[in-house]
Amino acid sequence: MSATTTLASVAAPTSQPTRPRRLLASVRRRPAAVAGATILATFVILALVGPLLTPYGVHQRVGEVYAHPSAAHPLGLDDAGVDMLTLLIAGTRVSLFVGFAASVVSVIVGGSIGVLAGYAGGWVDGALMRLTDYMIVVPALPLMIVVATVWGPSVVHMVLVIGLLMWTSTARLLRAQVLSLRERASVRRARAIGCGHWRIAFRHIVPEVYGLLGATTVLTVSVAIFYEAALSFLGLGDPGTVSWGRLIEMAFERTAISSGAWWAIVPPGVCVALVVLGSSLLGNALQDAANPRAAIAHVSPRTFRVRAERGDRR
Amino acid sequence: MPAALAFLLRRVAVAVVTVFVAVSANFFLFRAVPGDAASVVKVPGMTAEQRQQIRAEFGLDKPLPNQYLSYLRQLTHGNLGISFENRKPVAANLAEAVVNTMPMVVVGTLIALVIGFATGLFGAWRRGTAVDAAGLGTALAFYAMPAQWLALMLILLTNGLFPSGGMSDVFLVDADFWTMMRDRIAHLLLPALTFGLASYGQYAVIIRSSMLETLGEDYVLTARAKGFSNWAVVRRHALRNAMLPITTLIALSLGTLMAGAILIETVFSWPGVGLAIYGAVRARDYPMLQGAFLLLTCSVILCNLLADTLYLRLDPRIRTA
Amino acid sequence: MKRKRSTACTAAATALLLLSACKGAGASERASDGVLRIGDTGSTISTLNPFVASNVFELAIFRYVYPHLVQYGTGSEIEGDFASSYDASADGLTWTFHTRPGAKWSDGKDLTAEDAAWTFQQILAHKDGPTARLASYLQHVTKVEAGGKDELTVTLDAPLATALSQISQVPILPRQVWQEPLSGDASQLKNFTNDAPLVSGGSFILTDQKKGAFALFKANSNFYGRKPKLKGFGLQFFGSADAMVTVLRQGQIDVAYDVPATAAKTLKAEPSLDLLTTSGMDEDFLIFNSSSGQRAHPELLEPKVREAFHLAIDRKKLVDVVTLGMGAAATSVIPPSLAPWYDPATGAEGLDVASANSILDGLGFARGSDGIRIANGHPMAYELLQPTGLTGHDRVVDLVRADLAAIGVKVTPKIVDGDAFGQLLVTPSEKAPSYDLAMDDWVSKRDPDFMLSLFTCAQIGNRNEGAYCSQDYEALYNQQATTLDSGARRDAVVKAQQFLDKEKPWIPQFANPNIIAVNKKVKGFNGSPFVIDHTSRHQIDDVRLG
Repeated sequence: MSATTTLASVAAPTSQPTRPRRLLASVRRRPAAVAGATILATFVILALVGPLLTPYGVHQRVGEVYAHPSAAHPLGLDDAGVDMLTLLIAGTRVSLFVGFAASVVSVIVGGSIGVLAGYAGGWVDGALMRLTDYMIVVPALPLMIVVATVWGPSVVHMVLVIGLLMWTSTARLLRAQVLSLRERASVRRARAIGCGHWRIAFRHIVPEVYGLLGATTVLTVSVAIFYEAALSFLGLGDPGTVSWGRLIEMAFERTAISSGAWWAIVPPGVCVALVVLGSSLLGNALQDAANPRAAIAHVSPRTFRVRAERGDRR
Repeated sequence: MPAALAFLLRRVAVAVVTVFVAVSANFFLFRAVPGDAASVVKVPGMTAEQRQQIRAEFGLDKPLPNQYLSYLRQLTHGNLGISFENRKPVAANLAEAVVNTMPMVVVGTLIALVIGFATGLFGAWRRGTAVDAAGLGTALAFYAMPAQWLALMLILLTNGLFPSGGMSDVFLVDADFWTMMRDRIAHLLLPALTFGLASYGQYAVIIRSSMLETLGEDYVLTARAKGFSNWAVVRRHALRNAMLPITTLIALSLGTLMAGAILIETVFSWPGVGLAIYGAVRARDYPMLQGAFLLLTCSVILCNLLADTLYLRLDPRIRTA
Repeated sequence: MKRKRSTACTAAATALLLLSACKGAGASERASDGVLRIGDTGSTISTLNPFVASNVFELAIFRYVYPHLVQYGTGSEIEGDFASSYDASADGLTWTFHTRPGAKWSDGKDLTAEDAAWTFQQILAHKDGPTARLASYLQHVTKVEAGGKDELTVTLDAPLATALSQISQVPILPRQVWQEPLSGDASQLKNFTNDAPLVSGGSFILTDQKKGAFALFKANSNFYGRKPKLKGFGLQFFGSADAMVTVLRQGQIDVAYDVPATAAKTLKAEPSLDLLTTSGMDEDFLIFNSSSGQRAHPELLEPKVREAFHLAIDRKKLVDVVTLGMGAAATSVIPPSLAPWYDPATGAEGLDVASANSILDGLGFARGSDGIRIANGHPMAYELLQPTGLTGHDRVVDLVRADLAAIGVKVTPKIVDGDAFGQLLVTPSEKAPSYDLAMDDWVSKRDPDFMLSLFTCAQIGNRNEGAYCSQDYEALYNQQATTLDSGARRDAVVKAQQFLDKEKPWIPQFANPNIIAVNKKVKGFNGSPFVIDHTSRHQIDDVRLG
């Protein structure tokens, strides 16, 4: 087993994975999950109805550079005299989009690799897991910087860069699940009566891991938003769009701090922190519910790798 | 202890394979990206011959398999190549950057551990109280903040009380040792504090849950029944138990730490590994990047191996398994 | 037991650290009096090898550390440096330089015309290889000879208006240091690191330098010329303008170059600082793909269409929004501050959307239902390439896009990597993916030849962004390049500018401001737009600290 699985491998989920409905019920009982869901829902609504909330455009100059907050502009103006609240709301759309889309990409990639490795076993499993080992040890942000620099800045590239580089925990999680499911009676029976691999995978295995996939998606959103902010801060965000990360970057590049313009820099950071917190609270609760055995393991809130407290038990 | 030995041997074998994968992946990754030495070394009116000459200088004119073999050969001699940008050995550039990053990361991690231990221990002790919730909430909130933003907030809040650019006052020449030292520490303060605050959350969470788990175990209950003081119980059993996940967490989060370091170093113009990597990306200095990636991946692998060894020492259950 | 102690130790150490740091921050006594401390952002020093260096501050270091035959004065005139006087033959082909007798390198060895001759000869000897960068300044030089210890003759193959300007860029290197790396085929030259402290012949000695962080100089007591008034000076590089501005306000640096316009308001209010603001040498351009391979949108090759674009762009708004009113509108490829070469009459017509629309109407490019005009069967919808790393450029693109929308032209920005961008733009479209429009900025040199040379056919594949090529322009360019009389040359330079304005391979948009914040105790600091130029020592040599 790999050096990294000491920590990353999940306590083998021998228990019955929970089906969605029971999952929701168990989530509703957790206050942290409710808080997380509320935060996320608020921001999603803000992203949807946002443009209706302020009368200004994101390119519209409405006053002095770094003008103080006022009744007309509760969050003041930025370095070009644009209304900060308008920018913050516009940023919500892009940041959430990047967060969710990158998370979906990573879950699709990680899920496929995990399911494939777990189901196929043998050398396929070995090769995929060595790849996963490498992806875990390679420094993620530097690699993202390299790829984003080479591809050029755009929202789609940002989604792909983040999505394609953070699927490792999903892959491991799913692989472990599948390994246990594979030996289940129903799957064995299906194989015995000659069902095709695809049919087994999609009829018997994937439905069993929906809960886990959902939890991982929500967890990954927070990581993706974190990386969006980081890459944008390093000047790799799409200059044609406004995101929270870009707002922090612009304020930093254009001397908001030394101009004392706290209003240009505090709000986007608070938003990032809230969404990251919200999705990690909800995601962790979902994960605990979907995979009760993992609850006793330790969860690292940023990477959200579930870590068994003991060595690997495979 | 053959079980333990087998355990270790297996880990070493996998680590070696991963190192090899990393070495090869690094090589091919930076050959697949556009631009090479010739596009980095800008000569006005560069002719095709000059371009070719520069490529030859870095051995880029040979077939890929040959380049790969010579790269491996160089690596076995500890040679990481020559930086495109400043023509110095990559190893020397990296060594300088690592030396600069160390104080920030080490002091930052110490700060994180101190706050993390305090929050975790106290939270576990007063489990379920408002204090526990507040402590854990604060820890998670700090952990959710983007490091670069937290750094900017600290600059904003301290309002010029501490220097926020560079590692030292570079114009402080011929000063006595203590003046130099004070200057260094003043410069280190904000970056290290940012680093500590941005990462203590994970330690707090782990220490808290590990404490909770241990405090419920039979032998702890026995110890308490025997009349050991609370603190003695914590010290002898709970802390020892928490050391396992903590050491592995530190080892494993090296990669994540790097992400934080890049952002924090960017804010504070701190000439460390993070800034070196970022600068190398911008300058298309691929040998430098290749070296930096190798260094980082190998240290993560090595740290993992170390963590495994510690596991053996700290957790007797593995030894007897 | 052990664990407890280590935790306690950590806590104690941290507390100690905090305490001592607080004390440290208050202390401001400095051991560096008489040293001018300069801050800059975004630039670095990565090498001290003049055969590899290309960054502004790397070149600036050589200006102070190595002798040069001639240098620029405070404006656009050339003056003697190591050569106290010089003269040209009547045909302009032979230049004789009389160097200062009795000069010494900082290591005590003699510094003579022979060192200069040796350096120039070495550069020419390896010009197709390792010395190519410096050889580009000696392009028309055929022979360099020392006539004794104090005289040097340089022979050209053609009369050249820029001969002195070119020679002013070439440092004279100490033979005792460079003999070895330049020996044989000079293949070791590029790996020669030339680490500080290096043997100096200029007004300062580089005492310490750290890649990307700082460079420290002390006055050279062996210097042949007028001794600088400072004991030393230093350059410190910051990763962000915010960090630099903070340090400036704390009094830890005396001068900040390249201050962003957004910080100007705060700094103006600071009683200890002077803010020197000029419109700079750095202009922003809208670039058309002029290469003959651009066939997708033939209307863009039409000067009348370009004229309409020119009339539609609101330069005043660009200056107001992007530079916060501190830059200047640009109308020619020569920036307004480059007197006497700038021609104010070129491209002077201001914003006139109505005329722009009527030009396009007159060409028969009617508006489609979506308001976008149709030209040659295609909508006038174009891709605008932008390089990464141009800060503040998104605002320019926003504004220009809105301006062009008003005349029925749709522009879609596309960001490409800076390196790829440069490569793509100078390659004719038959050899590279085609593009329509691009935006870039260029910093003019003190001689107009540089900006004018960007449009020559010879620069295709190198610096000619848009791959424009016209024989008529070549003639005008060569005219100014070979006219030695300065009055006649100015006429030729004006003609070339007017021609470019007619053809419009690039549309000049605005000149970026050059903002420098200087502590009031610094005397004699010149706030000219040439300030971070590396072609004159006056910038530092004339400064005093009061």
